[in-house]
Amino acid sequence: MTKRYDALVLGAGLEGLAAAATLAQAGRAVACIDALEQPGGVCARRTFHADHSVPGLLHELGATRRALCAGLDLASAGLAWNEKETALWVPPPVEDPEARGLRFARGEDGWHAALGSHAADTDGLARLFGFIERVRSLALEILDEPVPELFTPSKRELFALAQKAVRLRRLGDRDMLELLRVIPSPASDWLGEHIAHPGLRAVLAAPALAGSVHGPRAPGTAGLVLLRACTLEREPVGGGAALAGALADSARRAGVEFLLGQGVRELRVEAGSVRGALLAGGESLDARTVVSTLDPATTFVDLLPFPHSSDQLGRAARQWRTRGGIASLSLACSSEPAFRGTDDVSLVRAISASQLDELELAADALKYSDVPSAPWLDVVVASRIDPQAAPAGKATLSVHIHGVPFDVQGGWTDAARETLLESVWVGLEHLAPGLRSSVVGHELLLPSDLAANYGLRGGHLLGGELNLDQLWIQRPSAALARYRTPLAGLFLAGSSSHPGGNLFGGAGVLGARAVLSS
Amino acid sequence: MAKPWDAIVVGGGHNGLVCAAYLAKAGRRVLVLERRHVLGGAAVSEEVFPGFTFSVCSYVVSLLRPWIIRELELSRFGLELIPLEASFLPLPDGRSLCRWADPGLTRDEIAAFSKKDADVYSEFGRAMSKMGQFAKPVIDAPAPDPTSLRPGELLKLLRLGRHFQDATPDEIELRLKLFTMSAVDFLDEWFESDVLKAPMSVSGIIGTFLGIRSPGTAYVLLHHYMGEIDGAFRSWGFARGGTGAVSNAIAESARHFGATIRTEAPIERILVENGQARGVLLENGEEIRAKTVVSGCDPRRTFLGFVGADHLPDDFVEGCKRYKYRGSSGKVNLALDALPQFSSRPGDGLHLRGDIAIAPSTDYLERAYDDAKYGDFSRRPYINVVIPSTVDPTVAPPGKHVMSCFVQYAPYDIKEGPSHWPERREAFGDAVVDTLAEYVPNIRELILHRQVLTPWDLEQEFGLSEGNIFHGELSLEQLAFHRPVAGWTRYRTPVQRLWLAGSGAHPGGGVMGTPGALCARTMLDGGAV
Repeated sequence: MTKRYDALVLGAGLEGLAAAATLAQAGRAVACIDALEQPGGVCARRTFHADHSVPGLLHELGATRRALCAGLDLASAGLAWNEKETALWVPPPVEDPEARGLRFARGEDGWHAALGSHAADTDGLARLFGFIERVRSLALEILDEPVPELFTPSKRELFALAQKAVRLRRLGDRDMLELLRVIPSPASDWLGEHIAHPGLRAVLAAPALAGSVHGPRAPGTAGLVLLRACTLEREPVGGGAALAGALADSARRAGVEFLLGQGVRELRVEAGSVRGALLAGGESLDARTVVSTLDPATTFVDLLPFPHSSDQLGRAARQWRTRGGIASLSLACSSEPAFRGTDDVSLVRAISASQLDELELAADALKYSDVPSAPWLDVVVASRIDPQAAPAGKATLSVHIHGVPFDVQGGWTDAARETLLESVWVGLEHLAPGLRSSVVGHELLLPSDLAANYGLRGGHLLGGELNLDQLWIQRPSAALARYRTPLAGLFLAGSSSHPGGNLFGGAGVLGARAVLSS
Repeated sequence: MAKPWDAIVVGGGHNGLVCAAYLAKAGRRVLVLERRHVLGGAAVSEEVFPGFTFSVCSYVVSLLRPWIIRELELSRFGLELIPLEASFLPLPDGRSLCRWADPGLTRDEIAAFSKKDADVYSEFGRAMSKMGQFAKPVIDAPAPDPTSLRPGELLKLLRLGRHFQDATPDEIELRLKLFTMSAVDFLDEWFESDVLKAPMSVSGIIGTFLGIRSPGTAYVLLHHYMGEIDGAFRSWGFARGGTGAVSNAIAESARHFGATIRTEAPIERILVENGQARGVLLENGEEIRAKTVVSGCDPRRTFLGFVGADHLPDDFVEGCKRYKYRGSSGKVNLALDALPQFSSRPGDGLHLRGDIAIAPSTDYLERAYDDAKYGDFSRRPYINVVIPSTVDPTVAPPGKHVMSCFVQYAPYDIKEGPSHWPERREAFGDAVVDTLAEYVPNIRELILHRQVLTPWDLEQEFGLSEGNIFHGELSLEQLAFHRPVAGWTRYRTPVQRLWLAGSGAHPGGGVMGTPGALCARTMLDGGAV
């Protein structure tokens, strides 16, 4: 017998969970389907060594669209948010032992960085973040609602568009023009205009560029720095696994049925409308609505039967760029790590890049599919945000290795993996002296492993590259950015839809709302 | 005391001359002052070596607007354009690709590398031409001003919006992409063969300090696709007598309409009294008064040089300092004893009567950029070669040839510091000749003379700040209402009666003439002169 639902949600990652919970809360009968055994996607807990686990693979969840997820009541599912923003540590550069490291954090009263001899940057930082604060509410307004209809706007939508234009004008000539100038600029130029400290430039740019294959000299990267600065807030207590757990709990309470451990083989289409899905195990499900949180290529090319996957959809899918550039390395350590240049043992996160050129060089390796010789590292002490991650007295670290291509010349042979790991050990030793000798177990997931383990096309962690041409009205394409697809009943609402990327929950909730309003 | 001029134009480059010609045509008394002994600025022909005349800097005519040619009657004043026959791409492995004016021939050539690309190529050309039509009203009019609340301005923005809306969804997508993508990503959506993509992508980076994989370069690709001669899209040409002939024709036109032009008349500063430009002071101490002053020089030389920060508001000075030049190209001009022999297509032929690109692969071009990013000239640069003597016998002695090589990347700010360029000049020239030798094995024996121009030389010799051939980078954040400084984009400046008519004003660089013409029009329409 064929089971019948109002809606099927493909993918039980953060967006899938948010979409399923939103639909179920509105009274729909919803099934959430994922090939993985547990919900959460890359945010699910991953045990990689005896007693050592990471609470998901992501390092930043602070841009989760909390306002959009408010209706999901994550608090009663046990989710709490940190009281302070997570500080980032940049150790002093190797070649300059006299220099001090940089601790960077935003508090209630603004941004703090111990600038030492770069005291002049205090003003620059204030100027930079003064501007960011002034444009922030407009940015959030744009990110927290669906993109405008470009092709056949109704009178109401045209009016809304005009209102947006008025809001832009209300920033004042100066800030409006500055906003339009900054967005397409290279991060290195914009940061260079305000800040002299090389480490401070790096710490502002590095995490913002994590979803892009470009280095800070590329146009549009200033827009990414601005986007992150506008959206990043406090991290969830317990990391990604806690956020995913709360979303799954919320979905379950709303009545979502989870079908885990087997993916969808094919979508069923009749007379130009989606009618349901066929699971990998052969089971057939009926539904008038399918919300896919998978990437466009998987959705439109792999899952749609041939005649429907042609033309516009196929093209949009092929042109969507998902080149991953991050390898994930989890480390089980026998003792607590100590970051170089500081005795603060509560530090959670550090990055190895002490100047922008290190980010640029990592991006160069991606361009030529080389094994990076000096990748930059983003390290999170997972056991400091999640007590379950390691036994007492021991530690678990999650390391993002930046500049690692999906394919390398000659393939990812064991020798190539070893070469990569060797350069990572060198970098880690610089970040936290003595760390290597404390490592008792590790797991390296290359972009190709991420693709194979999590179904992430290209190994990209955030649903598709973050660049100006893949954001907002172009995420994932101008014709698909409003969650609807040309196929009746099929919606696209994963992180490859607006607002996407690491603005978690946004696409899932807005996509579900688009379903409900149609 | 002599009667003051209606306008003094500082700088006899092509834009200064165009502006002067339009003002004179409207009956104004105009004086043009040029520092060098020749007119044209960077659009200049010079007999660098006896018998060999080079288009020293700018070397092809593509963007010069047809309406300017018509209105200033440039053909009557000696402008003669010879269309380029082909775009030739030699490869180091002996293969080559030639794209001809004839679509059928081009198709056959491309099919040798990819049949699919051969099929798509003409469709691509049509789509780009259509895009060009969309862009034309934008480059042929002053930039829209988003800060103005005047109904006329709002209407203009609305009309741009409407223009956008009238397009089909596919066209809208294409436009959005063109403004935000990299040249390579954009071409990847159309073509599969690297041999085709590499030479096509380079037009996205000419004169910028960006690589072909840098986002935003797809737009510049269009900028260069808009080249038109006699209204035909995508046709580049030589001016008979070199690019200087363009400037000379404009100068003749200006003189015809009554303008006075003085060469070897360098100015010391622009005279500003009570916030108003009153004339100029020449280096020889001569003072010339005028009702208005127009600068054809770039914003840095104009404002921070000739005017001085004291006369300008702080935020404007800040904006001027922030405006990016970062010259990235050099020029190597070779006088040759005979026609060069390309190993991939030996002998004479039409393929030598066009532009020749040394751009064998996208990775090659990107690596050339990487060298420059970290402060050095490209060991193996992108080179755009033309041999104008194949079609214009006036520029070289019989049997001999001039070979002009536009070379990218040569960053102004090399790691030793820009002033150390003179010590590295010959090494840079050698890198260019070594690169050429991989395609033209006997090139070294043919070279009679060699002129190497680094970005430092372009600054010192031609007054181009940081050697930027476009008076400031053509990157998205420096275009339209941001060019050169937000709020000052209509050729006006914070100094009353001082106007900016060079490529540092909208719509930007290239031998286009539009900034000069639009500046003159704005001045005349507003009753400023």
